[in-house]
Amino acid sequence: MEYAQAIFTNAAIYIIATMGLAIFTGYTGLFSLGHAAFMAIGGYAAAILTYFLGWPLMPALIVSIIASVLVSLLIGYPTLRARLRSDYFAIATLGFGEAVKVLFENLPLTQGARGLPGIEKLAGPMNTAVIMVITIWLCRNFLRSNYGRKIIAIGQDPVAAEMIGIKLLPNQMLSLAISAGFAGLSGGLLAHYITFIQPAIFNMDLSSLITAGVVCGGMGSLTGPFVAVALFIVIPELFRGLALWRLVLYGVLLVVIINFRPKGLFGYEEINLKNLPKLFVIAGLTVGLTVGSSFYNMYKAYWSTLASLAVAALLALAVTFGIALLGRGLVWILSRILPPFGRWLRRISDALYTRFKTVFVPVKRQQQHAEMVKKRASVSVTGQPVLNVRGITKRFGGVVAVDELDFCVYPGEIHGLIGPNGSGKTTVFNLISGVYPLTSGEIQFNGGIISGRLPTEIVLDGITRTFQNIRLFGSMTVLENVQTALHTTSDYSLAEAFVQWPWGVRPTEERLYQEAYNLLEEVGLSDLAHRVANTLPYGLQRKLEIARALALNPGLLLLDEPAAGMNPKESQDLVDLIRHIHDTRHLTIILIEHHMDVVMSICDRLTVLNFGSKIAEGTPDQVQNNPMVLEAYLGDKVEYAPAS
Amino acid sequence: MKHLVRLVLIAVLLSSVLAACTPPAATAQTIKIGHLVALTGGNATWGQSEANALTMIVDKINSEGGVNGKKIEVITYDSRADKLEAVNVVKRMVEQDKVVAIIGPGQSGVANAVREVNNSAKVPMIGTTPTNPTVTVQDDGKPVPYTFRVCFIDPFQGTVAAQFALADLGAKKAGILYDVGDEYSQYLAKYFVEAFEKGGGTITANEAFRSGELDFRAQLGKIKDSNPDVVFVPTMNKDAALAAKQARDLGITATLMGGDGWGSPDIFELSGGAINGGYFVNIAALEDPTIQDFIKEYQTKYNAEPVLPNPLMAYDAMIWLADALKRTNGEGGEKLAKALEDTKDLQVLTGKLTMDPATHNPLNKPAVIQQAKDGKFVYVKTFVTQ
Amino acid sequence: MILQTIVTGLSIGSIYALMAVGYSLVFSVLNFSNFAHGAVITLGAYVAWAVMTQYLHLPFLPALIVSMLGAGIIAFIVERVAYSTLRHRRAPSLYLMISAMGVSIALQNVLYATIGANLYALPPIFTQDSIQFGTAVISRMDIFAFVFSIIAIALLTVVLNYTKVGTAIRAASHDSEMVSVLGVNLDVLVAVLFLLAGSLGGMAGVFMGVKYMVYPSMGWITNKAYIGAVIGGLGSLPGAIVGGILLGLLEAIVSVSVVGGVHLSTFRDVFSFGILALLLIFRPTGLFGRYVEEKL
Repeated sequence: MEYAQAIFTNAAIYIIATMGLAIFTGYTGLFSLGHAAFMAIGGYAAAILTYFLGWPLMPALIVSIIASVLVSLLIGYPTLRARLRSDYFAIATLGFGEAVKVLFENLPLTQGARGLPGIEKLAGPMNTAVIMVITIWLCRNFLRSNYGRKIIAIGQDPVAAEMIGIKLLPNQMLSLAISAGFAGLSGGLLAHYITFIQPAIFNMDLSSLITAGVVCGGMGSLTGPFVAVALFIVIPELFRGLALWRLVLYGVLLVVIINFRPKGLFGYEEINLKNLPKLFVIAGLTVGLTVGSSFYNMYKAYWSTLASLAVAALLALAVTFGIALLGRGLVWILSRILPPFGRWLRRISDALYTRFKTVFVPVKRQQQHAEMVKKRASVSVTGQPVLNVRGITKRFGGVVAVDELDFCVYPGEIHGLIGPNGSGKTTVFNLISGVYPLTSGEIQFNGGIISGRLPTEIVLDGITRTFQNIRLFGSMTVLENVQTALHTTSDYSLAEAFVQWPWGVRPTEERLYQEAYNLLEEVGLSDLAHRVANTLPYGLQRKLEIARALALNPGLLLLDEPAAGMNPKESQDLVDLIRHIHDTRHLTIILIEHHMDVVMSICDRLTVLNFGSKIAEGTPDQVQNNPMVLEAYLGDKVEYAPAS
Repeated sequence: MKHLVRLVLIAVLLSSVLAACTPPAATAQTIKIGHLVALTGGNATWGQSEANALTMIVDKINSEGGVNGKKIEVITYDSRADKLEAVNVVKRMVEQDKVVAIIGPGQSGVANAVREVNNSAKVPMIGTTPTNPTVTVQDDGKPVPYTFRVCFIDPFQGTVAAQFALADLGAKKAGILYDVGDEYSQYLAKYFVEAFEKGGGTITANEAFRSGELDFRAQLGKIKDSNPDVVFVPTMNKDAALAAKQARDLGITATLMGGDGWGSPDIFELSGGAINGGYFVNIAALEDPTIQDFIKEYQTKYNAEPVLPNPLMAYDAMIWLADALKRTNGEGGEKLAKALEDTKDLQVLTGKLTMDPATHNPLNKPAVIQQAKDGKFVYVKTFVTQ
Repeated sequence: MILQTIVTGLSIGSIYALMAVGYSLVFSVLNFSNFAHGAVITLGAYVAWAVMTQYLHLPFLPALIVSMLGAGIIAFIVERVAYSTLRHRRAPSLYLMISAMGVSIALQNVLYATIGANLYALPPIFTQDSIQFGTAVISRMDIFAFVFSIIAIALLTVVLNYTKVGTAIRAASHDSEMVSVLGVNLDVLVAVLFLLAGSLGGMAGVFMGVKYMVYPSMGWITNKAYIGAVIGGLGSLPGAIVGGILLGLLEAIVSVSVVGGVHLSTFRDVFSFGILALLLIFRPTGLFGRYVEEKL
C-alpha cells in the first residue's frame, strides 16, 4: 500500500509540472526543452528555505512558485519578444536548462554537485494529492476564462489572434509564467518528497518526460496529458524490467502520435463520458499486462514455459476485456447519474449565485453589463473621411507592391477595392492593419495617424478585418471564436479567473456569452453556436469570421474577398449579410472582391488598383465605363460581369 | 460482440480455475534481502561483478544451512546509478518486497539519495563502495542510524593518494582535474588537496570540467604549463581514460593518479593505453593473498575475473549481514542495526571487520595502491589506517 | 599557452564544423532543424565500433566508409519514419521537431537497452600521436580529422556545384516548391540530402569515437554543433564551418580563462548557450545565413 502511495505521489508531482506545460506547449504551441530548469529553480528555492531557515513547506512552495515565475519572465521577455522560430526557441530553452544546472553546480549556497542532502520529508501523498487537485482545478479555470481563451487563440492562429487585438508577447509570457510556476511548485514538492536536491536530477530526461506527456496526451487538453504522464510513471513501475525500455517507449510514442494522431490521445478534448471507455481500455491493458506478467513469473517455475505463457496471455486478455467491459458498464451507469447530478449542482450554484449576487456584484457593474450587451457602434456622420490613405508606398526588396496610393473612405460607406490579381489589394489591407510597415506615406483613421502603430493597437483603434484564406480558431466552438474576440470588454482579474470567483467571472462570462450569441444571431449562426468552428461549411466559416470581426465593435471593417469560392446562392446570402450589418450599424466597410456582381451591387464607391497604383475611382457606374479599368481587366482576362 | 463477451467470460473463468488449482508452493521461511546495484549504465562493469559475487556467497550461506535454518533470498534491482530511479527502487524494496536489509549501493550519491527511504523504514543498508563520508555520518556528526558501509572513506583515500605521491613518487607539485558535476570527484579532489598541502606539497593547478564533457585539453594545457610532478584525476573510468589520452597528446609527462573509480579493466582500451604508468588508490587488489580462493572460485563459476573492489565488498557485506542476522535470529529493524553496529573482529573475506559505532564505518580498512601497467592493475603497496 | 589553446580550439571546432554542416544542409532545403542528427551521428559511431571491433575487424578507412554509408542510410530511414509524413502534410515545424526528438530519444535508449551503457573506444589510428608545433603540441589524429573534414566538405561542395542532384539541391534551397513544379521529385532530392548529411554525420561520429569514445549519449555534443551552425547562419555551408570552428575556439579560450579568481572552465556551456541566445535574438541570420521566417 505504501508502495502504491509512493508511485502515486511520484506521478502526482510530475502531473503538476505537466499541467503547467500543457498550458504553455499544449496551448501556445511553443516547445520547451528546459522545463526541468524551472523545476530545479523551484526545488532549490523551497529547499533552501526549509533546509537553512527552517521554513514550513507551504510558504516555501509559494516562494518557489514566485522564483520560477520571475525567472521565466526574465527569460521569456527577450526570447518571446524576438519571436524566435519554434526550433530556435526550443534550443534556446535547452540552453537555459543547461545554464541553470551550471549555476547550481557552482553556487556556494547550493553546495555544488552534492546538492542539499537530508531535506526534511515534508511532502507526502496527502498534501501532494491536494496540491495536484488544486493545480488541475486552477488550470481548468484559467483555460475557461477570458485569459485562457486568448492563449488558446494564439496557439491556434497567432496572426488571427493579433487581428482581433490580442497581443502575443504579454499573453505568451503569461502562459510561460504559469507553466514555470507550476513547474517550480512541482520541483519544490519533489525536493521535499525525495528529501534531497542535486543539479544532476534536473536533466533532459525529466524535461522530455513532461514534454512527451503533453504531446502524447494531446496538445490542447489537460486531462489527456494527465493520463499520459500517469501512465508513463506507473507502467515502468509495474514492469520493473522494462525500466530501460521506458524512454524508448516515449520516443516511439512521440513519433507515432505526432505522425498519425497529432492531437494526441484525447486531442483538444478533455476526458468526458464519451471517451471515458477509451480510458478504461488503456487501464485494462495496463492491469491485464501486469497481471499476466506477474502470473507468468510466478508459474514459470512450476509449469512449462509455454503453458504458463499461454495461461498468462489468456489471463491478461481476460482482465483487459473485463476492465474494458466494467468501464462500459460504469460509463453507462454514470451517464444515468451524472447529468441529473450536474443539473442539480447547477441549480444549487445558480441559486447561491443569484442569492449573493447583490452582495458581491455592485449594482453599477450589473448595469454596465446590461448596457454593454445592448451597445452598438454608432457612427457620427460628419463628412470627415473615416480613413484617409495618403501617398502610401510599399516596397518588397525591388518590387513596388503599392505605389503612392491615395484614397479616402467616408463614414457609412461601403468602399470597394478592386483590381486584377497581384494589383496590391491585400497588401493595402495589410498596410492599413499594420501587418506590414509602410515604406512611405501616411494613413489616418478618424483623424489620427495610425501608420506605424502595432497591428493590435490598430485593431483596438477600431479597424478589424477578415482574411482571404479564412483564419478561424479552428478547434474552438463557433461561440468561443466570438467570445474570444470580445476579450477587450472582459473586466475580471487574473486572480478571479484562476479561482473562478463566481461574482467576478460569472456576470462577465454571462454577458460575453450573450453578446457573442447576439452577434451570431446577427449573422445567422446562432443555431450552430456550439459546433466546432472548422467543421462548419465554407460559407458559414466566412460569416463566423465576420461575426468575430464585429465583436470588436469596429469603426471600419476590412473584408478581404469574402465571397471567394462561394456559389451564387452563398454569395447572395453574403451580400445580404453585409448590407444588413452595414444598415443596422451604419458601419463603414472596405471590401476586396473579385465577384463583380457582388461589388457592383453593394459598393457605394470603388477604388481600382493596377500594379499598386490607383487607376480609377468613383461610383460603380463611373468605374465600369472607365476605359483604363476595362483595359486593365480585359488585358488580364478576369471575369467581368456588368451590374445587372 | 455478444460472442466475444461470452468468450471472454469463459476465458476469465477458465484461467481463474487454472490459477486456483496449482498455487505456487508456499515459500519456506526465508529472509529477504534487497540488492541495490547498477547493472546497467556507466558503472555496470562493477555492478554485474558485484551481483555475481553476492550470488556466490548467498548460495554458500544457504548451502551451509542459511541463517539459523532460514534461507536467504536476494531481490536484486537495477539502480542504473541513477538517483531518482534508486529512490523508487528502494521504496519498492522496503514497502513492497519487505526486505530486512539492503546491500548496496556502490555510489555515494545514490546512498545519500535513498537515505531517507531506508532510514525512515528502519531497514539497514550496507553500502559496498560509497566512499563519501556523508553517506554514514550526518551533518550534525551523528551516524546515519540505518546506513553502514564496508569500504574506506574518501578522506582516507585522498590522504593515501597524497602520501603516496609525496613519499613514494617524491612529488612536490600536483595538478588536479576533477568533475564539478559529480560529488565523488569533487570531494575526493578536495581531500587530496588538503592532505597534499598538509604534507608540504603545492597544488599548481586545480582545474575542473562538467560531467558529460569530452575534451579537457584546454584545462590540461593549463595543468601542463604549471609543470606538476603528478596529475590527480579523481573521476570514474570514462573521464580518467579521456584525460589520460589527451594528456599524452599534449605531451604531459607527469605521473597520473586517481582513485577507486579507475579500477575498471576497460580503462586500458578506453584510454588507448595512455593510462599505463598511472597509479590509483583501490580498496583491494587481485594479488591480495587472502582473496585468492575467492578469485579462483569466481573465475571457475563466471569464466571472468572479478572487477574489484565491488564483488569483495558485497561478499564481506553479506557475511557481516548474515552474522548479524544470526544474532537477531532473522529479525530486522532496530535490532539488526544494533547487531550490525556491535560487530567486532568478524572474519570476513578481506580480513577482520570491526564497526565504529560512531561513524558506521569499518575500522582499520586498508587501501592499496595499484599501478596500471600493460593492461593489468599491478599491486604496489598497502596503506593501513591514516 | 595561447598557441596551444588555439590549436585545441581548432581541433574541437573542426568536429563541430563537420556536424554543423549536416544541420545546415538539411536546413537549407527544408527550412527546419534536424534535431535527430545527433542520433544519426551516435549510430554512425556504433556502426564503426561494430565493424572494427566486433565483426569483420575492418581497418580504419573501410570502416569509415561503411559507417558513413550506414549513417547515411540511417538518416534516410529517420527521414522516412519521422519526417516524410509530416512534410507531405505540411505540418508546422514544431511537429517535425517533436518527431525528431522522439526518434532521438528512442534510438539513444535502444542503444542503452540493447548494447548497454558500456563505453567503447575505437582503435587508435596512430600509435605515436603528437607532433611538436612551436610551443604547442598537435596530435596526428587531429590533423588527420581536420584534413579529412575539409576533404569531405570540399567533396560536398563539388557535389553541390557540379552534379545534377547538387544543382537541384541548391535550387531547392532557394525555392523547394518551384523545384518540384519543375519536375524534380522532391522526395528523391530529400533522400539524397539526408544520405549526404547522414554520411557526414557518420564521419563525425567515427572521428569522435577515435578521439574520445563511443557511448549512447554521445549525441548530446551535437547541440554544440547546432550552436555552431546557428553562429554561422543556418542554411549556409561556409557559415557552418566558420561557426563550428569559432565555437570551438571560444570554448577553448573560455576554458582557460580566469575571471576574478573564478575558473570559467565549468561555465563553458553558459557561454556557448549565451552566445546562441544573443545571436538568436539580435542576429538570427548568423554570420552568413539567410534567415527564413517560419511559415505560419
